[in-house]
Amino acid sequence: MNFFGWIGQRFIESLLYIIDFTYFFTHSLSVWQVQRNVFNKAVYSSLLGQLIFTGVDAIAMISFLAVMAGIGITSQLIYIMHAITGASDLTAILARIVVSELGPVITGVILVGRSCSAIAVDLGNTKVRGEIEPLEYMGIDVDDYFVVPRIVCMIISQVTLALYFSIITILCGVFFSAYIYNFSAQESLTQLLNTMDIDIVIVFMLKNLFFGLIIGAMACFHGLLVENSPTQVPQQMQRAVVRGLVFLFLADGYFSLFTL
Amino acid sequence: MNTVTGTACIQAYNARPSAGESALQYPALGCQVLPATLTCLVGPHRLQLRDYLQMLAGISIANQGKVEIFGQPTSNLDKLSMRKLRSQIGYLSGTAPLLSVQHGLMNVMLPLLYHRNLSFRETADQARALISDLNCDFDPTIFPALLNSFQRAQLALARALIMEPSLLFLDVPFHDLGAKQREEMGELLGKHIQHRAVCMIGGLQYPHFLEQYAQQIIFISEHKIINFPGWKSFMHSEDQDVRSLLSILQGTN
Repeated sequence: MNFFGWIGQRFIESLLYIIDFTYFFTHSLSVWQVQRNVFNKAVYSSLLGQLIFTGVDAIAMISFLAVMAGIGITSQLIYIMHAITGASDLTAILARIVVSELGPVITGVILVGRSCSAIAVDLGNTKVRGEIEPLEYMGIDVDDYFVVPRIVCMIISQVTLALYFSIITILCGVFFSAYIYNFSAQESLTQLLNTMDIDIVIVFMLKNLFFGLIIGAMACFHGLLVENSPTQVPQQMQRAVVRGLVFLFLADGYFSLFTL
Repeated sequence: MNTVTGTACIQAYNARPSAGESALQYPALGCQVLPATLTCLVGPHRLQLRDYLQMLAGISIANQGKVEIFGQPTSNLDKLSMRKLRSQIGYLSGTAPLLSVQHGLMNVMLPLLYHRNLSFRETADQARALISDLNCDFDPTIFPALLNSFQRAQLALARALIMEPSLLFLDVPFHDLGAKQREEMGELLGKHIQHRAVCMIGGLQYPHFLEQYAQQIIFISEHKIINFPGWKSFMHSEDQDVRSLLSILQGTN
């Protein structure tokens, strides 16, 4: 195959992949359909379990990284802004870089590495062991019980953890800088809160909602692509992680363009 | 229990399952499974039998002919009706294990929580009652991987029965148990199938069970289907294919 043939083949494969993926998550999330049975106790219990695994269990790691990012990145930003422009643009820069960019992206990367891989492996193994079929025979829908709770939890976790990450990063950065460079932390935080208009909040929510949707859907999609061989589990897990990161950064780029 | 009286639970009219990738011939099957009776499909090809069983269970659609479950043709059902129908049917497969990420009790509770949406406490009470009725003398809140195959089989049976189905399908159940444990499971099954229509494959592993409970044995091979009204007439059949299957079984037993 020549070079252009190879390029063409890859393009068609990518296009088909995007169509498959889009179909998967629109179909999985079409919970309003009459035959779906999403609002029941079985799904609720699965949702709770996933929320603990994806959200609560990740808090320690997110906290640690947020403190480190606060000390390492936010304080550097504050130092640079003080050195170049004084404190006048500080809050706008913090809102733009930490709240709109750093928080969602770092949280997304952690969730891809931690939960996306785990979900893909979990669903892949469940499928390889033949545990899904008997549930279908009992009338339990795979999308209702396995997919929807995982995607919903990923969205909730992404939004709340990104918010938590941003708050801790800013607080740590501001207090650390105030201690080192001797300025008023209270004043900076008040200015930052005043800078937070509704647009920033909406973009923050939309961005994290979309990130969570992508990560959750990618994990479930690749987990359920496993057929009957255990060797497919690590392959699909790797694809879920890599493509999750690619889509995450593509979405981030799109939002950055949108908010410029 | 969902009771169905009078009419047949399953009615197959010259139904032929889809052969898929199999090179086997699939003769057309005409039969009915009545309430509170046990029907066993037997034959030399297990995959072929499974295709017929899944067609009768409404899991796959008949390639030709018609199958009705509780009077409803399986080919015409929309997804909502199919889900309702599936909630009235128990399906126990020897190859289909419990969900390993949930503990035993939750595995049993799952169909009830999904279909009936009862409270957790009410569902757990029902599940525990059924589990103890099935002589489970172990803690059901243990994950399936930590249980032995007999305990897992007991929980799998409990999961198939928790919705109190009036129709139960057994797909080579308890295939990984030893002879003694299979006999014990046969006794347990016998206790719980008396008011249900049961359709099974892999029953020849339990000759005493079939002798006691089977009202219909359907022999299926590549070229013919023969209905026998019970174990005795099956055992006394003069048909060459049936004799050859029985001689193989006697050789292995």
